[in-house]
Amino acid sequence: MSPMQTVGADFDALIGPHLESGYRTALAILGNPDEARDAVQESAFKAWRKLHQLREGSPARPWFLTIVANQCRSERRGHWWSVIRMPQVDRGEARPEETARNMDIDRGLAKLPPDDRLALFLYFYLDLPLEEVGAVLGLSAGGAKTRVYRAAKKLRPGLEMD
Amino acid sequence: MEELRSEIRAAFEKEQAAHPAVPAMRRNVVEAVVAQPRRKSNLQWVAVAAAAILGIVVVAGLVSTRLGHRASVPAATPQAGQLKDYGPPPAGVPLIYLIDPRNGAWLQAYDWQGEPRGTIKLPQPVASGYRTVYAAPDGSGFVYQPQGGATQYLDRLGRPIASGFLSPVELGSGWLWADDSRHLCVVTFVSPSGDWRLYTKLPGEADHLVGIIPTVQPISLASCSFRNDQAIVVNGTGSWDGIQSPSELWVFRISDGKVLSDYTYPYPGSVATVVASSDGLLIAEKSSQTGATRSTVIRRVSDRSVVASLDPSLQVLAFSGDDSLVFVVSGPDSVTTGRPTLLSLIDVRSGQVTWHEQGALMTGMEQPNGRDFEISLDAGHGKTGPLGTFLIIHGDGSVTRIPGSYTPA
Repeated sequence: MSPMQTVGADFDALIGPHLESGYRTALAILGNPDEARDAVQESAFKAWRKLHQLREGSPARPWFLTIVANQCRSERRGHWWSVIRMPQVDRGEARPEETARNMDIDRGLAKLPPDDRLALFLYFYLDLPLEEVGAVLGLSAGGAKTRVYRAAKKLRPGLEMD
Repeated sequence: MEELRSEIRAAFEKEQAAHPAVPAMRRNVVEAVVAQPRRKSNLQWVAVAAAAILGIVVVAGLVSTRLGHRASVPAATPQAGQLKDYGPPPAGVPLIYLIDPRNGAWLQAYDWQGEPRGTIKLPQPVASGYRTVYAAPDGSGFVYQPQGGATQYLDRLGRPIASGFLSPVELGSGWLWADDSRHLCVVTFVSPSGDWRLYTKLPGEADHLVGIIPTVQPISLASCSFRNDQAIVVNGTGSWDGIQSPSELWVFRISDGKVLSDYTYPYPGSVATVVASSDGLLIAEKSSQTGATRSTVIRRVSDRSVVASLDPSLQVLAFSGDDSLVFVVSGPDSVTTGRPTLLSLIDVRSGQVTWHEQGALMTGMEQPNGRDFEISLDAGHGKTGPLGTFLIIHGDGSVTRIPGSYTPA
C-alpha cells in the first residue's frame, strides 16, 4: 500500500489501549475528571473521523494523545476561565514524612504553564519517548527535550540537562 | 534531569490517584464512537426519497419537514443514480476500491481511467466502524477485519484465503502492503527483548523475519518493496504527512535481512518529515529549520545524493509509482484541520507543476508503477465513515472525477 494511502484499523484494537493514557493526559491538563472524560470521548470521536489521517506503519499512541491535547487546548480556548482556574484534583493531605522538597514540586507543578506541565507529564509520568512527547506538543524530539528541561528547571533552578 | 523523575512522577501520581479512570471507560468510549455513525436520520432520508418516488406527497412533506431540523447531518446516499453490481472484477487490471455508502458491504472497483470494473460483496457491511478493509496497491487482495472476527486475507474476488492473518498487535503496531500487492511488511515491538522486529507475511507461509531493530523508540515503516528487495524503516513517528522527526533510517534487504544502509540524522529534529517512494529508491526530506536553511529535497536512498530540490514550503506526500512525479501540499498544517489547501503534482526532473487544485485532502494513493494518483477530497461524513469525492490525477495533469462520494478501501 502506498505511503500516502490512508489506513484504518479496528478502532478498539488501535485506540482502545491508549484511552486510559488519553484520560490521564486530559486530567493532567484540565484538572477536572468530568471534563477529562468528556475530552477523551470527544477525542475518540475525532480519532474515528480522522482515522484516515493515521499513517500506515505508525504508532497510534502519539497520534491519539495529540488529538487529546488539542481537544483540551480547545476546551481551554472555548472556556477561557479554565486557564486561570486552579486544578480541582484532590492532592491529598501531606504525610508527616513528606519532605518540603516534594511539596515544592507539587506547588511548582501547579504553577507551571499548561504546555510545560504537559511536557513533564508526558515524559516523566507516561514515560513517553521524546519523539512522542514532541509529536504531542507539536515539536521535534530536540524541541521536546528542551521543553522538558526548561520546565524541569522551573521546578529546580540550577538543574543541568542530561 | 533524570534525578527529578521520581519526584515529578510521585507528584503526578498523587494527582492521578484521586481520579482513576473508570474501569469500563474503554468499552463505553468505543461503543459510543462506533454507535455514532448509526445516524437514524440517514435511514429517514432514504425513506423520504422512497416516499417521494412513490408520490406520497403528504408523507414526504412531513418527513422532509422533520429533516429540516437535521440539516447538519450529511446525507447517507449522496450518489447519483442507482447502486449497481458490476460483477466480478477482472484479473490482471490494477483497480481502485471504494466503499459505496449505499451498501457498506459492496466494494466498487474502478480502473485508473475511472471506469467501474467490478463489485465485491463482503459478508458484512464495512459500515459500523469496527470493520475495516484495506485493498492491496493493485486491488488484487484485501486485508479485511469483520466486526469481532479475526483479520482475513481476501483474494481479488473477496474470498477469504487466510484467517487470523494479522494479530491485533500487528494491526496496531504498523504494517504496509508490499509493492508486489501480495506480501505484508510488519513491524512490532517485542516487550521481553525490548526491540522491534521487521518481518513479512504471506498467506500459507511462515512469517519471514527480516531484521531486528534494537531500540525502544517508535519505529515506522516507510517502504516495503519486493520488486527491489528492500524495506525502509525509520526511527520516528508516522503521521499523515510522513514520518516525523526521524533520527535514524535503516534499509534492509528483505530476502536475507542484510542492512544495506543505516543512516543517522545529524541530530533529532534536523529533518521534520521523511517520505519514501513505494519502490524504496527515493526519499523526500523536509527540513525543520526556518529561514535560509529550510529545504525540501528528494534523495536517492542508495547514496543519499540529491535528485531534486523543491521549494521549502512544499511538503511531499507521495511519489508516483514510477518515481517521476511527486504529490505535494503547500501549507501542510491546513490539511490536518480539514481546510482546503493547494495540492500539486510536480515533475521531479523538470520541477514543472503538471497539476494543481485547491482542496481539503482526505486520502490518496499512487498508481502502481504508473504516473497517476488517486485522491479523495473531504465530502463530509456518512454512515460508512468519512466520505470523499474521488479524483484520478493523471501524470499529464488531466483529471478524471468519479461520480458520487465514497469511503476509501
